[in-house]
Amino acid sequence: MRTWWSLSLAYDHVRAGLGRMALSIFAVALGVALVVAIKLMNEAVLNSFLDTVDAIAGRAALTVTAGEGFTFGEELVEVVGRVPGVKLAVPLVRGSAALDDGSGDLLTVHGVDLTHEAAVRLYHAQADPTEVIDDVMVFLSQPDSIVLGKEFASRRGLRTGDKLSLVTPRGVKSFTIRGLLEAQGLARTLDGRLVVMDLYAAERAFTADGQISQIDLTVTDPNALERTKSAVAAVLPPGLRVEEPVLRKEVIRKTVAGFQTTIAAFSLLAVLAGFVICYSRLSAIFESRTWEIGLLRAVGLRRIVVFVELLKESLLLGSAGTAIGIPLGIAIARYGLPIAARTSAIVFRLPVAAAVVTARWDVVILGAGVGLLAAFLAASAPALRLARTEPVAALTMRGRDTQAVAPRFSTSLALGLFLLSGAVAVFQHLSHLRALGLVTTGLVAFGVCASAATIVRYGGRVLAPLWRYVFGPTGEFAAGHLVEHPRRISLTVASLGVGLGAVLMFGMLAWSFERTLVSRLTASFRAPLIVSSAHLGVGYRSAPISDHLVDELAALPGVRAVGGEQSTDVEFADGVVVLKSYDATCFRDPMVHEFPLDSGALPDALGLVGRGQAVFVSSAFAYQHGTRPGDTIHFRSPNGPLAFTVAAVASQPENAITLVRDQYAKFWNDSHVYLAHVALNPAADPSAVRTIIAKTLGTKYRVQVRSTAALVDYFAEQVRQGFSILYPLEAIAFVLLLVGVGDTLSTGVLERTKEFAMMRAVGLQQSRLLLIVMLEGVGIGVLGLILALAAGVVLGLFWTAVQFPAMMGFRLDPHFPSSFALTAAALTIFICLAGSLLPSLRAARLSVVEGLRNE
Amino acid sequence: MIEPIIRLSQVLKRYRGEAPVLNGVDLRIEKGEFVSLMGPSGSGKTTLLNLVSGLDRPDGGRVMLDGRDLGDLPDRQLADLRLRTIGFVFQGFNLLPALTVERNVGWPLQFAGCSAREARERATAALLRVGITNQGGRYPSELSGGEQQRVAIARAIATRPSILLADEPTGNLDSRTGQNILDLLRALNLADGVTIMMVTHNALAAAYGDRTLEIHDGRIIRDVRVPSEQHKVAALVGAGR
Repeated sequence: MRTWWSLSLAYDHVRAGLGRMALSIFAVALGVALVVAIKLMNEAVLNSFLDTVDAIAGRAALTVTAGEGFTFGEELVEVVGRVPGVKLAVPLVRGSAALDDGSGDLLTVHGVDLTHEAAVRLYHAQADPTEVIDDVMVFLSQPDSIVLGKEFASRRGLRTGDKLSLVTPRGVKSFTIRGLLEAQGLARTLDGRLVVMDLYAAERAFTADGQISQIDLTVTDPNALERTKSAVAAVLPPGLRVEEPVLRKEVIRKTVAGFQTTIAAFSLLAVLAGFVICYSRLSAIFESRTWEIGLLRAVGLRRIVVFVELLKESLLLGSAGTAIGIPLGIAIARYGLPIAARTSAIVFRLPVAAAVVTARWDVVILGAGVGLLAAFLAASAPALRLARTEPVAALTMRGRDTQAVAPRFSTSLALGLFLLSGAVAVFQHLSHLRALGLVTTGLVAFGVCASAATIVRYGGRVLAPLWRYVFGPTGEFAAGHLVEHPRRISLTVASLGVGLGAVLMFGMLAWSFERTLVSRLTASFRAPLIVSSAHLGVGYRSAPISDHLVDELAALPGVRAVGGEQSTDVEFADGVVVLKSYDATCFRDPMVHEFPLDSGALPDALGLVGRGQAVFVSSAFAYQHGTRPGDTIHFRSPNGPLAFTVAAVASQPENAITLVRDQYAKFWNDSHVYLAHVALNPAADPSAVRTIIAKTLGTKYRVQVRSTAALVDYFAEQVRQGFSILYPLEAIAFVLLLVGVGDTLSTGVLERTKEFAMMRAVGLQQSRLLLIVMLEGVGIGVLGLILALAAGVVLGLFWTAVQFPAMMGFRLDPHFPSSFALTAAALTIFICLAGSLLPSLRAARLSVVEGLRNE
Repeated sequence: MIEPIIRLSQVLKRYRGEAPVLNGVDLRIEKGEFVSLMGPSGSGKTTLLNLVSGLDRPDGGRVMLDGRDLGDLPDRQLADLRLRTIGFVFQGFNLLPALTVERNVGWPLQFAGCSAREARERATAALLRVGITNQGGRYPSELSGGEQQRVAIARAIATRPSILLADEPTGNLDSRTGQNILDLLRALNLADGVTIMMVTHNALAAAYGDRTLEIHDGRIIRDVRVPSEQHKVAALVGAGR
């Protein structure tokens, strides 16, 4: 039947009601845009990381490493090269260096054997070294020779023969550009931010003599890869591994998955908020047309036909939202990608790669599916309710509100959803299934929506006497209207509850993160001065510096003791933990560093760790792995497997193991530090010592000296930047609130034209009508705030205590963001007043005669 | 004996916990008759119209339409019956504000299976029939009350129904416009043989019909045939106002 497919009637209705449907279209568009943008950004960032892995591995079939970021002796190259099946074994040194021009630009450094043409070809397919470098002999004879990515060089106006200063762990070094790399392979992936130097020069600048980062292998027979891999593994010392580059990709995929799921949760919440707003608007729009449905039925349309016609409207609306949302999402992804790429690189300590957003059909289809499904589902319930309305009753509904869902049902539904979400949370705690957190979040959000009717019903009853007392009968009228029109008001309150609740939830998560970090660092950092590189390394940590810095600092006048600290990521069990190592003095001298310990520590725990006989694990580690003092933990180091006794659980937010730095340097071949804690003699003037450090070591190592408070502030600022997505989210929630409250009140005013005219006829002042409508707006805001507060605290507690530790490995203390919540509450009430201004003016100015004549 | 187009036998209708709105109503309406229903508010006039149209179901008795017992028909067939056999005219016009005049008349035709083109043509013809020309592209809000009711009648007759149910069609109109509408209904009745049941409070309007039924407390207390001269008088009185 052709009418099943005809969209003409639905189109006419959507076109006529475009103004009222605009909010729904906007909400759908926003949800779709965020889903598309986050999907595209996530994939672009992941692909760029994977491309980097490919490019780093080049055409190697196998790679030997000691774990990401660690080194091992180059004598192994020969041993591995002799293994049957190995065609070529190529040593590689990897590092990163900041440009010493104040820009903070970070370059990836590769040290390769440039005398070995086949080795170079492994990474740069086109490159015979003679094609890149004018004179190979000059290059090799000068230890300051480097080759630079052409794209980066052209951006900076650098040419062959120019000098380039780089901040290396051994201090600032000057290099000479002797060739430029075409935009291929790794150079292309890193957008030209690649420096290639001779292997031995790289060892001296970035690792240590004879220490390399990896050996890349090509094989004689690709079909016998597994056999060759086993043969190579057999000659490797314990702690080293041989793997296919593709496996490294899997590790990256797994590592990034948790973070990307968290970001995806933002988009899902946006879709959910869009769904609630869409449901709210469509319910209001459909209900205001109940009499039309009665007419359709009276003229002879069957229920199913009416239902389908209403769904067609929702699909048109969803299509409009999708049509706006998809290009908007692509635009957001294009503009937001550099930030996402940098944030991901910081979080995962990976090199920033040249990520590119490519609009793909599958993402477009996903966005369209999400938009249409959200609109379709949002319309289904009100459409079904309306289609089932008896035509006789529907025909008499012009200008009247339909009966709300029975309060007992909505309350029971809300309770059921909350209980179910509690059960899922408990199950997640027991099963450690991270994905369940999103289910719990969704269930709580739906529970919040379902409880809106109850909040309005009982909240309105509480407001009525309160407002009667403050505003007299005007206040009573306003509160009464909230209770009399529960469906419309409930839906707006539900939108507010979910939208603001999400904002509060992320606010609580961000605040808890910041406060936990600040309190832990403040309790630990005891030295008045902290010295670190002025440049960021890979990730949020400052760049590593040679531990000679510690000795040089200790020799300065006024310095009592210096404790070096290094922090690196190592694989542990199925995930990654932070390995924190401190000089022994940090465990001995409380003026340098303190380690607040949880109860149950072994006797002389600090001494045990300081002497290298035990380790601390963080509270997050203990929570995740069920570890207790006295337990033994096993893990791999580049120099073989290790077993350590756990001396105590340290109050640290991240998933970490703490040990003495001597042990760390010995087993992980890393003598760098990233922080130096400088304790001073009692008589020393901190600012004088600071000046001395800046003058003597500042130029040599490009270090900065900060007070403990400044460093803590720096970390807190990093957290704030990490959660900066909160602010656009908040802005979006408030815009939706403004439009939603305005629309709800406008509908209410239009429907009560006759009622208001009657009140004016009886003698009510215009100002009274104005106040009634404005108080209704404030009432919606107050009830929405109550719901948002409850939702925000419940979801905030869940994410702080369960979901965030499970996904990111951080264990946080819950902190309620009082100032943030108060600001949000004040803004909400202000926006509700602003949103109610136009409807209240309309109510106050309506013509009494016209209004009384109004049907 | 020829089966009447509308027949009600001992029809009972009551709403939850209230006294019966219709209490044992018996009624026969022959094909082509124009019947006026009068009575005070709450007497059961609109309920009777709703039962005849199949919008509502009786609690007792039978409602027969063209020989078919509406009680035996499922919702789906009742809807079909309304779409093809019955036309509705309401006191409040009930035009869809989102649609143009032409679309307001044409949409039931499309649901009755007409193509968009055919619906447009028949809608234009129906509008012409009620005296609305060159206004098909306007919206209901741009028309006067009388014009809106003409469009509503055009919508009701566009599907060429055999029965037209009108619930106080002149209730929202001034007397001159109301009379024009009544003239139009009468013309449709005479020219096309459409059976009309019209609810009205106005005795003068009731005089346009062939019969006047008076309902009181859910019962038909009077069934009077209107002499043809009286139609002319009513028309003259209306015209004189």
